[in-house]
Amino acid sequence: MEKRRSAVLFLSVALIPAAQACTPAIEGPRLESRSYVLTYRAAPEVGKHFSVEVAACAKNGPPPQALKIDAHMPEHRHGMNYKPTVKATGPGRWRAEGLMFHMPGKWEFVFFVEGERLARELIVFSTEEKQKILAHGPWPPAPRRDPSNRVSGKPEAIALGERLFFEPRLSGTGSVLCATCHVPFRRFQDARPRGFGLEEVDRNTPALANVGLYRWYGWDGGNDSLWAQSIRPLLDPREMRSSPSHIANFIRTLAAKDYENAFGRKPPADDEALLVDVGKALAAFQETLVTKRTPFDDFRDGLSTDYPLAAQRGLRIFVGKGNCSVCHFGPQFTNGEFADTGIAFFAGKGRVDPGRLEGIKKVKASAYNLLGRFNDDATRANAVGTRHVEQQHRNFGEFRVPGLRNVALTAPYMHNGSLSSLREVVMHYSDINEERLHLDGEKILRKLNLSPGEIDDLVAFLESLTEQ
Amino acid sequence: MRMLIALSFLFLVGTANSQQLPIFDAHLHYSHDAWDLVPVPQAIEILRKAGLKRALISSAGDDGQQRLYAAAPDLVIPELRPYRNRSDVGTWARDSSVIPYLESRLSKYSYAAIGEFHLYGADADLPVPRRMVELAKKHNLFLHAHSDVEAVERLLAQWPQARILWAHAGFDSPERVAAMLRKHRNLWCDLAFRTDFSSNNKVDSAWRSVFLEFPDRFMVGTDSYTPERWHYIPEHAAWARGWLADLPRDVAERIAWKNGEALFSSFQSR
Repeated sequence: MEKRRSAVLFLSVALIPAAQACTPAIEGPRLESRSYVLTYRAAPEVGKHFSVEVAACAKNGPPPQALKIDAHMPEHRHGMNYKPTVKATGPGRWRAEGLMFHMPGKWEFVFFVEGERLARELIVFSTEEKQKILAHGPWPPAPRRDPSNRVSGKPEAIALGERLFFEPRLSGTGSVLCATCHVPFRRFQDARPRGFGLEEVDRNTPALANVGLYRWYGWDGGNDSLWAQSIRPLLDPREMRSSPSHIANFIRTLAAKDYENAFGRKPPADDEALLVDVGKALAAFQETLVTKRTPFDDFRDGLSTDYPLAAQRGLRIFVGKGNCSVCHFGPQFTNGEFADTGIAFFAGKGRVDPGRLEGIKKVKASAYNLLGRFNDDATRANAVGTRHVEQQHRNFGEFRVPGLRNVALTAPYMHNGSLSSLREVVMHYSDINEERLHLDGEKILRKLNLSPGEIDDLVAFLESLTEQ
Repeated sequence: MRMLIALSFLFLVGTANSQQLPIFDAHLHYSHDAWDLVPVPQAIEILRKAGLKRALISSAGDDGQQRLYAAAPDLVIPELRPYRNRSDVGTWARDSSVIPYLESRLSKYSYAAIGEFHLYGADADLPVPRRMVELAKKHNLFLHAHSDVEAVERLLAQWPQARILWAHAGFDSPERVAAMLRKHRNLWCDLAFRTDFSSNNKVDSAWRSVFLEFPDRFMVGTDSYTPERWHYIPEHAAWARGWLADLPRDVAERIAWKNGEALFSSFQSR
């Protein structure tokens, strides 16, 4: 059966006329009509005259002789204010000059080759929009070490951290490992609304992509370093239900050599110091979980001419009327802080998840914060945030602004996993319940009333943040 | 020995509770979306556990605080919000149907105030707010205004004897708040949803001056604008006690509860 299908496919390919191989002489967006194939190259900027290089070939027959070019804004129902001139520069080659897009938005190039119409939509970004788009790169970031962790970036520590990440014997029951919730083939999350180690917890398991780049850790920012955050689930009775002595005993008896390789000393007698070092080895491993480049990155860097138009339209909403990039800022698509996004934060009957309010208390009180003795950076320069952060009423019900790289692969969403798809997330913001937001609080989140097409576009953009 | 330790602990707890500053919370809402999520018995329990002496409560959908009042008349002081639901927040000042709603509720129930309402600038002189002020005058009620300076001035121009509780102290600066308090003797402020007047339980020097100059004109408030925020009331009360402790005891007591008690005692004796 499979062989027969292959044979049919081969026959179909063989019957395609050779003329379909017609390839214009310019690399760029490709348009096709009944008789012609056209490519062009242009770099339009709003308010500036630009030229367009065009190449066209005939699917059958000699190169076309005549080309006309125009452009208009379909939604505004107007064209350009200038009439371009077209000069032939060779067989099937032209250069059009004098074009200008006098406003940003959705334009359409229209080419007439020997009377046949070829058109292509394009999004022209304003200077302001371009600046915002450029702020989302470059990617990947330069490798960086965490000065609070003396083994950050050290290969032996990374190896130890990876081993410990998959080690069930660290848990109090011997049955749960970090990877139980942070599942590698699920992009280091678990696809559940709420995490489940030994018991279900109140919050969604965050993916670990680019986790080394955060300022605060956990949905509430209850820790200020990745190593401190790595200790938390080990000791949480709902997650791994372990203890410092249990973990220290494991290292001393079953991983002493690996520990010595990573830390340059034998496991110390102090259980707590050893627990912290386990956190630091786990952190060293997690810092290596950096996502690869995405279609968006290629577009942002000017390397891509085939970035989907829907994604471009969504990008325009993201940096424009959606105000998404205000919080989902920078190369990692997060400002690293916390926000009330209008999501209910009851954690159960008669119980709320106080979010950042509790997180600030936790991080201030933590023995493992960057102000404490376990910070390996003697200058404490990395502890400024911890020293200065202070509770405010608005912190009640605020949760971390997550990074968006690979976001399409990490459903469900929000701190409690209450939204099951990217579309639901976009619709939440489009139709946000403003009554849940304090009138004198955040002004960024307001009803967007996006059309179904705009919702599709924004989702398409978010999907373009998926690594290739 | 164990018994002695236990008794000592109980004594200490009892002493701490007896010394705990009571709180008059002047800014609570119990709106329609809270009624199922925080049922009346639980809401009352939260207020009592927070150590609230009394609370000025309004709700979008007036039934909310009426239910609370019926359950705990010693604790709840109802005020009438010109909102049937919270989406009225942005439209009520131009919605003439608000007036018969207010009239109907005022004919049926007793209130201490009309508010909290959101009203800014020249909107205060629109027909609906004007009629609301007339109703407040007729029923001798406070106005609880979430307003800027201009709207407060316009309300007082309409009814110079109006007693206005200025929600959030207008989110204005201590200097401007002080100027308004000097100018208008019938103006009081709640400090809800603000943290700028203290840091780590230390009162900001500019605000300290205002509190000491006008110790009779401020009250604290939580602002439970979502159902979840009912669970913030105890935390807020504890936080308020923290920064109030940085003020002279008599000033702290007035801001914490005595001002609220003094202002709204007429409702209680009704």
